[in-house]
Amino acid sequence: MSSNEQELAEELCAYLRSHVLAKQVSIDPDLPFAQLGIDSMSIIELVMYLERKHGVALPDKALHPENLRTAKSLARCAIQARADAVLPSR
Amino acid sequence: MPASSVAPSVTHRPFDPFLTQPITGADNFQLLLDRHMRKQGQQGNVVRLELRLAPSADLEQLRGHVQRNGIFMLVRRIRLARPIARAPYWYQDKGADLPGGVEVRTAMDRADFEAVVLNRDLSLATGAAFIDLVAFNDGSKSLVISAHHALFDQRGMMNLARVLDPEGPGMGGEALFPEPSPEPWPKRLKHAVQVMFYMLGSPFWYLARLWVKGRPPQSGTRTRVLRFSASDTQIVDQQAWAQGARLGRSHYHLAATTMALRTVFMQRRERHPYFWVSMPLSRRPRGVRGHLLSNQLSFVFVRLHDQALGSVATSVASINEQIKEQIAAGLPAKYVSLLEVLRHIPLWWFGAMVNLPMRGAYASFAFSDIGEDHDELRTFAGVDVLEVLNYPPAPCPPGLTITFMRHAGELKVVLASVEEAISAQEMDLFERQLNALLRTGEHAS
Repeated sequence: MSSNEQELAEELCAYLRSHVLAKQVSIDPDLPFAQLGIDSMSIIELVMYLERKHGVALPDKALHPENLRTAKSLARCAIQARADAVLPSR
Repeated sequence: MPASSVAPSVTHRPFDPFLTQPITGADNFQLLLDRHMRKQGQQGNVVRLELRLAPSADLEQLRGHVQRNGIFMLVRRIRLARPIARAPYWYQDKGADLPGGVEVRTAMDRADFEAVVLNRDLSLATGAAFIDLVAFNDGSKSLVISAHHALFDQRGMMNLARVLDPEGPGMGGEALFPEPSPEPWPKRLKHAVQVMFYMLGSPFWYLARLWVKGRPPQSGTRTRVLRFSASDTQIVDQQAWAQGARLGRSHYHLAATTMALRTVFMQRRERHPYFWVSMPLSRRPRGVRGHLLSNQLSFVFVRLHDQALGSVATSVASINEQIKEQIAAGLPAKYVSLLEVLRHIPLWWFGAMVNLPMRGAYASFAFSDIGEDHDELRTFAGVDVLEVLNYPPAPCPPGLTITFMRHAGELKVVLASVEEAISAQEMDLFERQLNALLRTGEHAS
């Protein structure tokens, strides 16, 4: 994972800690959301957070369950979407 | 949620004989629904959780365990106080005489099960929970928890099941009630006003409604269950993806349900500009089992116009957009603020605020999606749990409640209805259309 992805993944974990998870629950970028009962509404919150804070709108094709499984996979997907938006494929 | 991922003990409140706890705004909303149902002559706002157990389950032994279960007895002593000068609160009536609370029934058939168990009424004045232990004629066995919705949300019901399991973790160090919300009053009022403007910003007069005034809904709740095998469930999930439900299968479930219900209105030769539905969202902190009692819920609201209901894909797209917009605007959290404020006004006033714009309809139908929550109930009292079903109440109006759930990879849909709102023949049509729409994304021919 690149340092950008690591940073973004940690940021998503921090968001979950302050808005979704109970106080003493720990999360790391590799922990599957489902294991902590993080449901689809919370994942929508994360996607909206990425849009609002980082200006990244995830395209439909990127919203695959594998990309939404962990903070790491979501961060990677967001970084990729941002790169694609800057350099659209020919 | 797997047990290994549950955090160690949370805020531990030891048993407090002088227990009092303010109700939450969501509790108050459930009390409003209870009042609404009883005014119409229905039973109260009662939810049920059925655990279908392996035939080796010993029901008499379970009865003994429930009767000795201190937490269950505490629950049955919880009462509601409505003082004039402060928000209503829960308290424990230590002097309450507690006959029963659990019954064993043998040689029951499914018709009697619906009439006797699934229509059991509960009052907060006499005990907010009841356990039926049922041995059916076909050899199967079930444990059914009936609980008043003002004191239990879905997660609370699951936690109560774990408390009742003689081989379970009991309270597991969790608190009885949630921590009170720390939101300062000015912010709470601001959020409440914002939500009210949002809710009242559109007219509700023309929403699709099943029940026609003049037919008191007193025939009881009818229940049907749609069951999908594991492979069929995968087909439904593939359809959900194909039809555009990227951020939650519930959007697909809701689209299919609305389109199926629309066929009932078409059969009635009625056309309505739109359907209005609220979808409950759990606001419990994640990653822990959580408290036992009291609701922590919010809602998102979906308005599906007739034009959007032309296909499942367009319905899903409309739902996706509306839910994203509300979450981006922070509406679920703000709705909680509104509900908290509304605790401080009498229920009749709260009811009038809901009834006036909607002419008493509340919604076109009631809908919820429990997801995979039931997966943690795989054994009970040392025997296998073969199936878990949540039976919702069917407040009328609207008179139809649809709940989606899963257990062990199999999708189930419980349909609760009232004859005076939707007839048995119409429910046959609805069920057939819903089945087809979920599996194929298309109406049944």
